[in-house]
Amino acid sequence: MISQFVILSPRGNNLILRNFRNDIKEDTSDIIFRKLNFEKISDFPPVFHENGINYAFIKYSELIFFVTSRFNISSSFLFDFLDSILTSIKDFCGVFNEQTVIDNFGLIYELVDEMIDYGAPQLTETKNLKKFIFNETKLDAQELKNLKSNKKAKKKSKKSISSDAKKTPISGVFAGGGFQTVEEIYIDIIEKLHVEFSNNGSLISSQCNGLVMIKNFLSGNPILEIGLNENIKIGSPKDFQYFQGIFLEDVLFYHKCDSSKFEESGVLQIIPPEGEFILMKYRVSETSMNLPFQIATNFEEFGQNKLEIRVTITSDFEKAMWASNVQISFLVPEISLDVKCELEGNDITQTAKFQKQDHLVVWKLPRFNGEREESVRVTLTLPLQKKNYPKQINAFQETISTNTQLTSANTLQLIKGKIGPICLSFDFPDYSVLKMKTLKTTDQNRSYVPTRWIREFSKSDSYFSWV
Amino acid sequence: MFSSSTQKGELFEIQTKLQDPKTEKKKEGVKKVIELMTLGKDVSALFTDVMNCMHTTDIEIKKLVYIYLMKYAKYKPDLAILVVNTFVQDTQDENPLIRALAIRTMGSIRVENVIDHLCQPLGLCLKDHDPYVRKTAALCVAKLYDTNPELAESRGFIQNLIDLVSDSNPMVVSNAITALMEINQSKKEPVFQIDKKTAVNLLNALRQAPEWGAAFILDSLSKYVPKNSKQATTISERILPRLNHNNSAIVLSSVRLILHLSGFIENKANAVNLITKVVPPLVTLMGNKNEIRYLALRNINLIIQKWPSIFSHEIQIFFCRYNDPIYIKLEKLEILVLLASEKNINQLLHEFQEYSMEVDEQFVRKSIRAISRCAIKLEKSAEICINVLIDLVKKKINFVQEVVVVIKDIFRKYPSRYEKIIGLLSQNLPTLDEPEAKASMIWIIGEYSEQIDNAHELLASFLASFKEENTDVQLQILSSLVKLFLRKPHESEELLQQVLKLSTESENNPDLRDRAFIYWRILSSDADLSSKIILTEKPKITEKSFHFEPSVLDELLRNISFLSSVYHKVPTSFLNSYQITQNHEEDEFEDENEDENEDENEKEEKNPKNKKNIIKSENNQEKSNNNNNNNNNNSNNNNEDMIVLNENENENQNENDDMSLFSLNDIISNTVKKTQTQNTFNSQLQDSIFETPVIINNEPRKLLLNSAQGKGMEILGLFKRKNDDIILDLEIKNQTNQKF
Repeated sequence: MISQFVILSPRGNNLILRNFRNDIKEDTSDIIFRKLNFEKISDFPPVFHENGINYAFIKYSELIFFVTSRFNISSSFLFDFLDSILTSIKDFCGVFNEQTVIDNFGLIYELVDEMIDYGAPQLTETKNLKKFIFNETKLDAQELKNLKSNKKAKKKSKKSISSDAKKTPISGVFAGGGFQTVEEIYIDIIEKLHVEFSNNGSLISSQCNGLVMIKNFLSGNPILEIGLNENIKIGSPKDFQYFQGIFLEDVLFYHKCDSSKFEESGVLQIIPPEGEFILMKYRVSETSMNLPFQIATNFEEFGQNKLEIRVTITSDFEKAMWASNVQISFLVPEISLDVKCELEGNDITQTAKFQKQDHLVVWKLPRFNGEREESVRVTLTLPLQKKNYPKQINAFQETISTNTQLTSANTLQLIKGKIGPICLSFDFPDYSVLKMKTLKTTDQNRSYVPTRWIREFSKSDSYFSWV
Repeated sequence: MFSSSTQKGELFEIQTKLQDPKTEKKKEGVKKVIELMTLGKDVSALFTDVMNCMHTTDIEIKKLVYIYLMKYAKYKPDLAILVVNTFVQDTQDENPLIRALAIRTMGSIRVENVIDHLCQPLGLCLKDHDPYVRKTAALCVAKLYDTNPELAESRGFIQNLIDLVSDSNPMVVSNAITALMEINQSKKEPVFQIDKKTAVNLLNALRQAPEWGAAFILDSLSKYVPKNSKQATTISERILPRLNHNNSAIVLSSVRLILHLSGFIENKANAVNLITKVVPPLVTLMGNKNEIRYLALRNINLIIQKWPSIFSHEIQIFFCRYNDPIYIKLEKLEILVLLASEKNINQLLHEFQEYSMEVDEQFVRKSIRAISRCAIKLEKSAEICINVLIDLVKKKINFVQEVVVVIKDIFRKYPSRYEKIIGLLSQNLPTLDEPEAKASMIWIIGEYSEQIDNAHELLASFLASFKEENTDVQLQILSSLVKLFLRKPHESEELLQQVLKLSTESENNPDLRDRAFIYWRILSSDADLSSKIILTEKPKITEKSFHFEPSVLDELLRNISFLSSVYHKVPTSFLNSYQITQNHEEDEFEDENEDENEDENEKEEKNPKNKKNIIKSENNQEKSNNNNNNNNNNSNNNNEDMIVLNENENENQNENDDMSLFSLNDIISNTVKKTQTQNTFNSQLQDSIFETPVIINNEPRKLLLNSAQGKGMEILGLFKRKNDDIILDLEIKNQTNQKF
């Protein structure tokens, strides 16, 4: 049972505070603000208890959302509630920031009250909630302008524009408040790659988590039929030895989705709820994954105190495709006296820099085409070696100590140990394991063709190689 | 002054708006009031004006006024009665929304006068034809029960709720169940139990229930005890599809239910088969947001402790990613150690080795500890693990000190097997500056003094700075020198005298002084006997000591998906104050702490018998607060205890020694005479720093003072181990009707 729900501003005052059960004092926001301020918020476990009160929080766009409870209740329910309140505020208000919360607090109180009664969960879906909400969305003039210009921009460039669907407030669209009724549907297939290479370039682990997200702004109750890849099996490759298609290790579907034909033909049927929802989440089996990039590192010593690191990235996909915002970064030892970065090849769009305060080398490539190899040379100048005896030499020690002098191979090993993993981050449009093949909308009452925005997209979650 | 006058001006401005006949103005006014209320300002002065706005057809205003009422009605009970009429009228409105709104708000106003008028409309609403009203009314019964249980029972609302469980609308079902479960919790005898028929009903509602409702229905189903194996199988088959749900709350609740049901299935193979079905969904949860991943990891940890093999093929997903937040990395490490086996040890060690090169101190230390725990867990692979540790020392990673600490653990598990490392470790001797690392190193020297030729010289170098050292280190120097003396008497006699003198004469720490005296006495008695006592074989540590006790683990597994499973604590240990605050007014629990202390003092005066207990515990608490806390406190405590006991027994015996601070002589002679258990106790005492790290977080507290003796006050307490700190957890209950 949830006792309180609070939205806290970055300065520590309550923007929204709703007490459902009156069994906890209202000073909880002070407690959470103090606690989270002392420690770095992202390092702090998201649930904790203090003085018999349980707290769960999330952070979104500088605001802290949290709930308190006195019960031993389902922990994931707390986060699901926080998430869905955030989603509904986004659905109703279009954008989300501190100002929207302040402007629309009446609406948010209404929403919260419909979603939770006496600490127990009630309605969640935007569609159901709409019946009970009477406040109108308020947007300031600037936001309205943005919204309209966004609409125009979308028409022009169809490809790879970020889906701004969330910027269309539901109540605005359907109350006819200044907008025309738009029949739009956005489907995003987003896949996050986690890949780990060992220092000799062999694969240690790889994982690909994907989701199909739909933002639905269709009126009426159309039936949506989505066709994905046809050759899909759910399960482990071990169980189906002769199958050649894509293996999904595990799949979760939206609870109202009809997935009976999925394994047979890749077709999903659903009457979509309004607003944003996740149609399915899946995990691609390791054998069905493609790795877009390979990372290789070479070390070479120069003179007494110079070490050259050569990082080479090879792209392994069709020539016509390209990944954007590629960034390679790694830590170098703090003791380095000087760090020089040198690009191979003469592509002027690339940059490679050493950020001194973080001891970080950052190499950026705005665009990385297929079937290419790019590399960077980083030269470290290290302090000259001394015999590194501890200050306080202990005479007794000699008798049992073995030879302490370091050999040169040992030094390289030592320095290598202090170079962080080579991390790669990128956005990759049109690159995904699951693809959208067909999309049909059928409405019994009328026939129309809605505007459809489809995006397939891969992103690095953590893509790195040990050194 | 200035600020208060502006606030008054502000309030006045709002007041005019509230009194304005135009709806728009009124709305502005009410909004302003709620805004101030949210910021924590007192707007109770506007009560009458806000109340007058209630008579309106504008739902927006109405909702805002209700929010205001829920907060302020209890401060103005006599005025609140005036709104009752409007409420009752609203509950008969033709719009179901207004009906539900009125009943919802009325239930949340905890004013007796209002509650009295609640019953009649509530009865009607429970039988309303609109499901939205029914589901709101169902929860309202729980609200009523919380304020006035007798009334709720005498009006037959509980029976109404039970009827609603078989309602046609799933939302109503889930709310009715939620309300009943809550009422059950506050009663000793449950008002409602799930029988076979309800279970079938719930399973049917499950299919159509909205997401959250489904999670709550699953929770209540786990209270149902299936009659036989077949029934359990049938239910689990109905639950299995829920595992593929998008909502993590439903997935985790289903996991708990399935684990619960698997216990009732007779065919072991089927049960195991069922349990393995929970693995893929849990793994998929790991692809979620960090918060959910954290919950999943904590739960997986428990499941692995019970069924170690089911996750063995999924080890890769627990490898740390460099961008994981630290709290996730630490959890993953825990799980990796749990999953370590002879098969995957090489892969794991490679990971751990990489982790120990990272930047975050906490993470690196834990990774090093993970390596040593693997060595302790897997006897065959201990050698490889130790080689990795040696490698780390050679690479001069940042936290060599941690390596020293963990190697000590390995020595305890495999005594006299890996002495060859000692040489390497002592090279790093001068760089050690952390107390724990120093103490560990000194322990190793003491324990292996026979093999180390210059042990006495090494220890002498520590003795030089004896006074500046931390207590842990001092105690360890003392113990190690005693061990050295017993093994090589002529080399270290002088040192021993020096250390005994230092610790008994110039140190104020009673812990150190007492231990020195005890050694002194033991050594001055029979030499053979003393080496028997001091150099006894120590109990070995095992990896199992990092696990939960079976009973605690089972309790935690019953709580999968609940907060309890995330904290890894049984519910009673963190929900302690719930009952207290229920009896009290909200404003009072601020003073709880002071009250506790006062009461303790009072108690001491009244009841000298219990004095010892309390003083000791306070003592200990202080110490652990002082951050002076290692396992030493344990021994310290035992120490004192023993002294106290023996003092009573042997008061009249003669003493013929010059050190007559306590009747120590007797203690020692006593201890020597006593049985083998005492013997091991002693050796544990001296090595208490290295005592098995038992995790006893989750035991229920023990009764220290019962309410009959304490005139209504009950004290429960337990020593707990949290990371490396010893904590005394006290719970004080008031069993009388009077307030503290």
